[in-house]
Amino acid sequence: MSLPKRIIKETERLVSDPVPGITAVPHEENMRYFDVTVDGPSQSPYEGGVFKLELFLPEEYPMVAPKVRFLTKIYHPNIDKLGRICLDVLKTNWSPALQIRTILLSVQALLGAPNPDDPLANDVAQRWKEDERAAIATAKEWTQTYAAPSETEA
Amino acid sequence: MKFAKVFQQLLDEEDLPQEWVAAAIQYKALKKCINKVVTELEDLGLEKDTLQLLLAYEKAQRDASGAAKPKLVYSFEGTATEFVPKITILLNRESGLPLDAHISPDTRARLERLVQRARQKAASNVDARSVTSDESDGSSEDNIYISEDSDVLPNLSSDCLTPVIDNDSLTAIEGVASTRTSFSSEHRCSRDFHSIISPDRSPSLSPSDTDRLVAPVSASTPDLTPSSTATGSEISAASIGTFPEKIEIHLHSDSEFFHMLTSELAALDSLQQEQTKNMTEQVHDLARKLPHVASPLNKKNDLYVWREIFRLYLDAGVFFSSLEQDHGDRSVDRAKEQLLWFTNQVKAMNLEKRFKMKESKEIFEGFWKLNISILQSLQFQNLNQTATTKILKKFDKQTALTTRDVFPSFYFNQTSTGESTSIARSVCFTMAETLMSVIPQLDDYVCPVCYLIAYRPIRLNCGHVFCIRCLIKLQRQVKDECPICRQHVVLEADGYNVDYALQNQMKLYFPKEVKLKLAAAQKEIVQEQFHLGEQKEIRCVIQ
Repeated sequence: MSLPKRIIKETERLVSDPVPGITAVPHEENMRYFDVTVDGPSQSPYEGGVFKLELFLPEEYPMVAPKVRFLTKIYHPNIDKLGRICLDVLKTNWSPALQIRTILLSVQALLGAPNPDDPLANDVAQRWKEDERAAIATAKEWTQTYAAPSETEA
Repeated sequence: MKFAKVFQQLLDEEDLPQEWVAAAIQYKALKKCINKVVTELEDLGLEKDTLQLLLAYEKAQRDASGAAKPKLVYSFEGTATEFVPKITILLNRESGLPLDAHISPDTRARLERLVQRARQKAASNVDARSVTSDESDGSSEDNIYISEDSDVLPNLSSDCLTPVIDNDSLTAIEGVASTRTSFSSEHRCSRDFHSIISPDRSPSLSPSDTDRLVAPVSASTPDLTPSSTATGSEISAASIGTFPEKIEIHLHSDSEFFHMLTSELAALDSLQQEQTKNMTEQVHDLARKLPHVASPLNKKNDLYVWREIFRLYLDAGVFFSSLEQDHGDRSVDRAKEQLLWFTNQVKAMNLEKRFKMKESKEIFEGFWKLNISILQSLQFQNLNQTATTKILKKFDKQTALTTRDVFPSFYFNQTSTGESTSIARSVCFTMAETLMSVIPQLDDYVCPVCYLIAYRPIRLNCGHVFCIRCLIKLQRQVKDECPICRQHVVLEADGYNVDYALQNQMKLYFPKEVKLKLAAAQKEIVQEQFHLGEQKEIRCVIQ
């Protein structure tokens, strides 16, 4: 089936005018499926890490939100073991005027501002509340272990 | 290759209009002037090394304590057209010595003599106190204020010299002469005031020295008028017994250098204004002609071709980039590249051949030439900016004075024109406002949900516009929030929310896009109905 104009336009702009610190490349065989990388924000425990995600645009997009999931392991109170993200704009606060680029920016912002009061990964959120310093240390450790930029990309 | 040569070569090569070349920064002349400044500073005992030491020491002091008083300050005083660059040296009030241990004994001796002169002058010229003393801190401290100027630039020195234009002028002149003598220690030490002004001047005097020293003589002639007495030197102080707090030295060749530079900058500025005016006029001219060939009200028109041209032009972002990674002004080279890209695209798409109207071709040529002119003046502007930066850098390197810190902020504060007002910026603004706006671009008429033309346009009560298809989908999902502003206005929308004026405009300017959109919407409706049927069937099967 032919791709809606909206998806074509968005993809074009992601290529011609990429967001600094974010890449999103569609699969050739399925243009609704994107390989995504997000750089950890500076001055966050995720700084220096490059996180891989997958993004899928459902048939109803943009009337429903894209599906986004972390592929890289990450220690974050709002992201669970399966990489699922607890982010309002991906769920109830989705608006069809939002785009792939704006959603990925929100995801990047979430890394810079973890919210343990609205947890998805309960154990992580618990630790974050009880001993923030230790939790941040673990997040940094995980970033170094799992999100180090691969040499081919560097 | 030396910059002076490169600069001249670029001016010659770029095929610039004669008056531009004439207005360019006189790099070579300015460079010569720097040599004069160096000589003058050497005569004062403020050679490069000394100045460097004084300035470096001052910086270290400030870094350490934060508030330490600078011992030597280089600054500009006055307005953009009338100003004096000066060096201020602070003195120890007890000993009358410069407040710095880092100067060589030689320099110290010269500065001491300078102070000595000032004190003697003070004794004979108490009158001047009222005019020149600086009582800002309310105490009895007074300034020693030494200025040297020449008749080369009479207008600017009048403000600092008025106090001595009276019967005191001769003392003032003596002041300069003997100060001079004491400075030029080894080979000129025996020369006194009279020998200096005598006709058989020593050949070792540089031209600028001669100017300066001869000028006072003319100044002492009886028929002088205030404006023509801008020569000589003034040394004033009071309260004998107390040492002054600081000495101010006004450098003659330094003023010459900066007045030359500022008058050139001003000339460039007016040239630039004229260019901007011309180009803006050209833009308006094109904007007057364009509607005639592109109006959809005419049966034969080039609306779509022109839209394509302007879209390419906007995509090229010739002079400014709107991309996330390199937004802002483009460099000259980049602008050149982008303009080339635009030209090639227009060619590749055969747009010029697609013009139906003869006039379109002329307008396009005008538009293209205009861009070339903007590029050229941008290049010229850049070249002069580089020349200015380079000459200041050279100045600093050879004298150790900190002009690059002091001068640009002084000058650009005084004049309204900063480096930021580029021709490209103002002409491109006019272009977008008056010329591009003649042809509406699709991007300004798309639905923010489906990215197709927002036809038929529904204007929600919050003011945001969507196409009717997307709005119906939202209503079916019972989503009440406007996708843009989240106000609860979607469900209340009905037939009254159709924006008919906008709808007519779209039909007029985007007939093809409207047709496509209607076809797409029709297809969707058919699909929806088919799907509904399909689902019912499946349900039937399950049941």
